[in-house]
Amino acid sequence: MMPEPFASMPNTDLIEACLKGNSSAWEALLVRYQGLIYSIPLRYGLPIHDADDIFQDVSLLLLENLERLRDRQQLGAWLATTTRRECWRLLYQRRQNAGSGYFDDEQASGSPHSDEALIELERQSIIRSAVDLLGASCRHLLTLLFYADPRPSYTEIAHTLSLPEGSIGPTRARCLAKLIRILDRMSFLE
Amino acid sequence: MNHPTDETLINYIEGHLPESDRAQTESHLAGPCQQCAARLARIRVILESMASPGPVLPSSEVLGRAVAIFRERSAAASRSPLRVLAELLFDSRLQMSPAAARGAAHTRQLLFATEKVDIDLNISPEHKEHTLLGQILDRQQADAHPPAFVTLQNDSGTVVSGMEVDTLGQFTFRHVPSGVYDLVADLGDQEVAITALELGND
Repeated sequence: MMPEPFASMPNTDLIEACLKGNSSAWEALLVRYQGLIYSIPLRYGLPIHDADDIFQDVSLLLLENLERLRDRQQLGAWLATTTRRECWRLLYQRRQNAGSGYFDDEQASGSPHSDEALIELERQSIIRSAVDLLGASCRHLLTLLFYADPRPSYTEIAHTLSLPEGSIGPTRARCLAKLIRILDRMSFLE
Repeated sequence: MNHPTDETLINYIEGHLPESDRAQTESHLAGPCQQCAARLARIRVILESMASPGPVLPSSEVLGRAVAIFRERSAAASRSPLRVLAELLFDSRLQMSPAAARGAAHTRQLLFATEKVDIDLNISPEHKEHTLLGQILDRQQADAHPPAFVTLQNDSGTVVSGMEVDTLGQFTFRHVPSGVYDLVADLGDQEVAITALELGND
């Protein structure tokens, strides 16, 4: 789990800390956007090992460009576009190596991401990172409720967490309220 | 004024408030309390995002390698393709009289070229924004359109948008505010840059 205070800093402060050489700030930045960066190549239909490579490439590009990412509130948009471009480059190079020439209709038209979808992916990535900053009990509950696959029932969750089933609902709301306060500190949606 | 807590707003959004509390919250929001209405809208966005399937995360090993490059950055370097600046060959605005150029909004046509490609641009003002239509053509192969990823950046270095061209080499950026931009077409083995492209208040 990421140590405070970096994990809940707004992007502008995180980037500033990175530029001052703070490796914990860098880790917090990657954790915040890991979902966004990693999900995009998978949505292009690329296998996991390609997604791993693209994640590394985009992380390196982010590090190299931190200084000139002046509009730091648009970091998500830059990461989404950069990741999409890296996916495109990988597919392009593969086709060149295979001697396949230009993309056919199916490949060229298949950008799987509208701007709205990428904005939503960014939100999900940041929210996911904020869940990891909750205390253990809330973190476990919200992870089971929202990120477990398959989603367990309230009965199963109550058994797993040793909670009365009737308390799941109210506890859920309290934990979500705590999550929102963490997102406040991140200046999320501001 | 007693504003509802976030927990109350969450329960209100999800229909879990007792009737009396629900009525009280609605009455407060209808006050109007703009602060709470904004808060409600924000919480709703967060809950809707959480209701969707979450993003896929890399393994801890993959994340760890990316974290490590911060300390190793002197040894690491990304692949930077050659960047070529495109030359302006034609600008329809330069063909107009100054009076005509100051008149009603016109679609502006520009043609840029490098050794490898031509880039055709049409800029149409729409209210206080612009639509930028472009097409990339291969100079070395007639009727060929190289695959490319096109990025539009404003003059503070912020990426506005990016997209792959279609099979005809075409791309469209809509709702672009007036300003000065760089357009960069990544062709895979090189980048073609059109710099200081002005989208003005025509």
